[in-house]
Amino acid sequence: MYLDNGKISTRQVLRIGILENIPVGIILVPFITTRLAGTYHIFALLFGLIMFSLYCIIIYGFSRSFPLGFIDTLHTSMGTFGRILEGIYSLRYVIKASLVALFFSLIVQQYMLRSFNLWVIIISFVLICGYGSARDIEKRGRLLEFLFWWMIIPLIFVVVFSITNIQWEVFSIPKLDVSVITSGSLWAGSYGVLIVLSSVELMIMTIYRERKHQWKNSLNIFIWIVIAIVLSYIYVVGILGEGWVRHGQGSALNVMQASSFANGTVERLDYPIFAFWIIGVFATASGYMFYAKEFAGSMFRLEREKSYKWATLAITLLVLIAMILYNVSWFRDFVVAYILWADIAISLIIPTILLIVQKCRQSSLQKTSEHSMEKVSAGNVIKLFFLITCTSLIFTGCEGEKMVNELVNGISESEAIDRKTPSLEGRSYIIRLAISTDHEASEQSYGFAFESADLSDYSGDSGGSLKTNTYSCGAGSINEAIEMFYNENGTTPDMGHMENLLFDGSWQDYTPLLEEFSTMPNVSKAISVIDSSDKEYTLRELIKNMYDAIDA
Amino acid sequence: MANNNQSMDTENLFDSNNKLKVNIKQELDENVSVLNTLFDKCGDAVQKTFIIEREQGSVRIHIIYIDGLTDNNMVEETIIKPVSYEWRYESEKDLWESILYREAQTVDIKEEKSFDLVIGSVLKGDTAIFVDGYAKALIMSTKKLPLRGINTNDSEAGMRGPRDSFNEGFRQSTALIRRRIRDSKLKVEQSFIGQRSRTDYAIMYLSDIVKPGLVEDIKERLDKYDIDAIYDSGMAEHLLEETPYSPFPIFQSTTRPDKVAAAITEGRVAIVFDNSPEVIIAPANFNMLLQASDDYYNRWAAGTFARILRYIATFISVTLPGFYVAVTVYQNEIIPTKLLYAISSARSLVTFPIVLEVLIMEFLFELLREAGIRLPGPLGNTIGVVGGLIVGQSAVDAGIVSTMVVIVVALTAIASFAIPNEAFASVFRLLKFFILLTSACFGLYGFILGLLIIAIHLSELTSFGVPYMAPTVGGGINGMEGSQDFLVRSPIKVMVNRPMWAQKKNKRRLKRKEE
Repeated sequence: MYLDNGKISTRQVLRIGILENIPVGIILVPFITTRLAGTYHIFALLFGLIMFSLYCIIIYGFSRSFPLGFIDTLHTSMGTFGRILEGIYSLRYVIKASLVALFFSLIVQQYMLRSFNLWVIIISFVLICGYGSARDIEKRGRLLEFLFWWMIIPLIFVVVFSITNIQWEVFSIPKLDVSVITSGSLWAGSYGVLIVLSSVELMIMTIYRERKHQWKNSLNIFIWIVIAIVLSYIYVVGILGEGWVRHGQGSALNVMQASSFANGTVERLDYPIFAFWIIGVFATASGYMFYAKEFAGSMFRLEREKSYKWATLAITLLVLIAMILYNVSWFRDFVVAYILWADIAISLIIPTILLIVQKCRQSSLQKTSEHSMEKVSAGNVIKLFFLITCTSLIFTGCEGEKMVNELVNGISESEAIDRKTPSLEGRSYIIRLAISTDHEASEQSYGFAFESADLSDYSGDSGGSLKTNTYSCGAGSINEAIEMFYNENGTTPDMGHMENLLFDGSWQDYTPLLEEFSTMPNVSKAISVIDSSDKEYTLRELIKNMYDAIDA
Repeated sequence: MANNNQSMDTENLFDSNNKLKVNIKQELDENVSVLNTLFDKCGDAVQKTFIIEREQGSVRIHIIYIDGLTDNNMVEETIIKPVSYEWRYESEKDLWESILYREAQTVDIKEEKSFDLVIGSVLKGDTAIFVDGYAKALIMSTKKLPLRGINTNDSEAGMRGPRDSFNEGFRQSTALIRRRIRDSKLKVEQSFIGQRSRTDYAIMYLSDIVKPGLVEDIKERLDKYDIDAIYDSGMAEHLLEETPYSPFPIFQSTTRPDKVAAAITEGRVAIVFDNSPEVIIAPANFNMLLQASDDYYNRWAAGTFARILRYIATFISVTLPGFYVAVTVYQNEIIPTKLLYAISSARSLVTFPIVLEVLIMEFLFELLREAGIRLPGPLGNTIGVVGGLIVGQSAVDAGIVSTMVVIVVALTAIASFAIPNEAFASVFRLLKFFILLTSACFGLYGFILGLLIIAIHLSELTSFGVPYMAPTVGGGINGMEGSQDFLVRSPIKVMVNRPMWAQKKNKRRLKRKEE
């Protein structure tokens, strides 16, 4: 009675635009720019955002040109060829949804569920995305409108509570000479930014309830995305440093640890914030699946109701099949090549073809005035100019090949740790860990002394008189030491509540261990580390220094 | 043998929809014969044929009513006495007209030609009068139903505001609403539902405020089904729903007349069912189900505070056990160190894993709640105290559960009781187990996935076209952006417009007199 016309409100479009485009970008953009452009990451971001702006202009132009919506226009204008294009679009989005789901699942496994098989996470996530995409656009609009603040408020927490940790000197601008500009790495970084943010092309499908607000709303979405990406870049690179960020796709998540409430009301805010970030990634992946379903439904001329059920099921299965196929080398190579070389180009070429067909039909059907023809031609020239500019950039795509390869290889390389999640009382809570170099045993051996809380007669009001137990061993790595602790004591050392780390010597002697600490999400990077000269650091500072030193 | 014939005869009187297919005949004997067949072995049916003297000569009339549902005195005073004695030789030419317009001492009398409707009325407590020579009957309203009085509202009590409550009386319920809206535009469209129960219902709305189509939609949905009986508005509610498998109610049900009156003046529609103290209101959404009448009677700040508290309570009632399991089993880094030590130390004597521990305690609580409801008042309270204090403490001492779990479950229970609508609160009690399950499987990741599933479901729900999550969702659609009555209950002076479900041309509900 109130709503049922396949259109969504301005606020819903805005929120869909933000939720579909920000979550993956805020994690990946700092990583891509630092990884590919090295010290010139700031320029890579800048040029990447300029490319993104051009891309947005084209997408906006396309969306204005298809007032009935891209899918319906394709459906009605191009006959059998249109069906083929719909199939291509559907498969494109299946691949993109599978990549987002893969990226997400790897991070969740690494960060939250280390003892879980990756497939458990993938299947649960894809099924939820399938469920979320099995709706019409109005329900999707309502869903993302509802979820919007669930993701945005936690991100605002990060921005507010971790601002003091930013080290602004990281952003010193290096001199940009000709050799840098002509080298591929800078452009690869920029192009990487565009690829990550290319999900904005989904906005082409949106049908506005009130088209008069389209320009203003599109601008708002663009501003939101740019602000979010720039802020995430400033926070991630400013807090973790270029070296650390470049180290891994999920390293940006460590920034969430930099935020905490005063007086330790909640010890670690990063887990709740991360949990709510999941909602954003759900929006992106389910967005791709939603439109894949819409294209598939349109291709097979399914009725709306049928399309929601069967096409959704088919798309969910296809995404899972794509995940399985990442274990096959030819498919992996195809996806890598496709994402780097063809995806952006296809996203621009097909709407351009449709636009040309539409204009040709219009001009043959009705004699338009010379003036309006000129106007159309000028508009097309501008669009085609940007089209050529952007598609030419794909030739820099090869630089990112290794990076995308790392992602798609992750599915075959990921491993769950053998030990199951220990019970609360089956853990030894480490308060302090003292590490010394134990070169007598071997060149790469360290002495570990774990000081754990003895809770056998803990009453809660013991104040500072908590009893402790100490266990010492020699090992080549922290994980090896943890294994020895477990074998000896029968309990798992839990370092999530560790207060201090003591180094017998300078931090430079413990580079491999710092590297290991950087990949242990349960260890807070805010704990204090004291070296032999009684100098106090935070673990985050030392990891940052360590990666910077490796780069240097 | 005779009984078999009788039963066959009775069956022949009805069609497949249990409607009487015979018509009222001119011959009184034939009508009496039908009545005898219908009310055979019905000890509560009272009927008698009178011979009354008129100028035209002796005329036979037959009167029938149901004992216990009818005011016998009224039948005597308003029809039998006047017809038999007072107007004995003064009737007009047409006997029917005379009885209807001169002799019957009541306003509430009408003629009816359908036998089915006559019998329906008699079964509701009316009295039917058949006159020899006329193929129709007179129906006189003589209901005196066995009802309790207007009681204080126990299920939706408030600190301020009226205390009265609907009861099972259909007319009393409509009267309580009419008493609050003295406007002739308040329409009360009556009908009945249920082949056997013939339950009366009334659709109440303000004709100039309700959105066009809403009343028709409700009527259409009610007419769609043939059901044996409707004993409570809850049953009808389930028939009217588009999403029968959803745990969330898409109607607001209440026993408070002031709440119904407020809803009607907002442009919503109330449906009153006979024998049901709960009146249902449509459309409804998530926000409305967390509103209480006090919110509007208290000052806006206090009302707003209570409302925010209820939202928090709702969130706690669904998520706390699941969150506890997620953070203790998987992501204990979130918990402050000293609290973690306390939890871990408290669990040292507990035999079961955390998930099972929470499930046992939650099950125990639900058991106590159910037992408390089924037992008579004072005993029910005792069960709560005994269960809460003695069983809880014993469970801790026996190492079945830890103290922290008792606190978590108790806090969850208290939070669920802060939700003003019982039907709504029970949904959250159910969903708590769902979140508990997903959190137990995947920690915080599962916790969020569980919430996501609920959010997806909520965002697709609508109540007669109104998004269930409005005004959180649906911004900009048909003026839905107004959120003066959402988390913050704005001062009454500020809430000048009716919500989105009112007619656009009649949006204004408050204006200064000089305007």
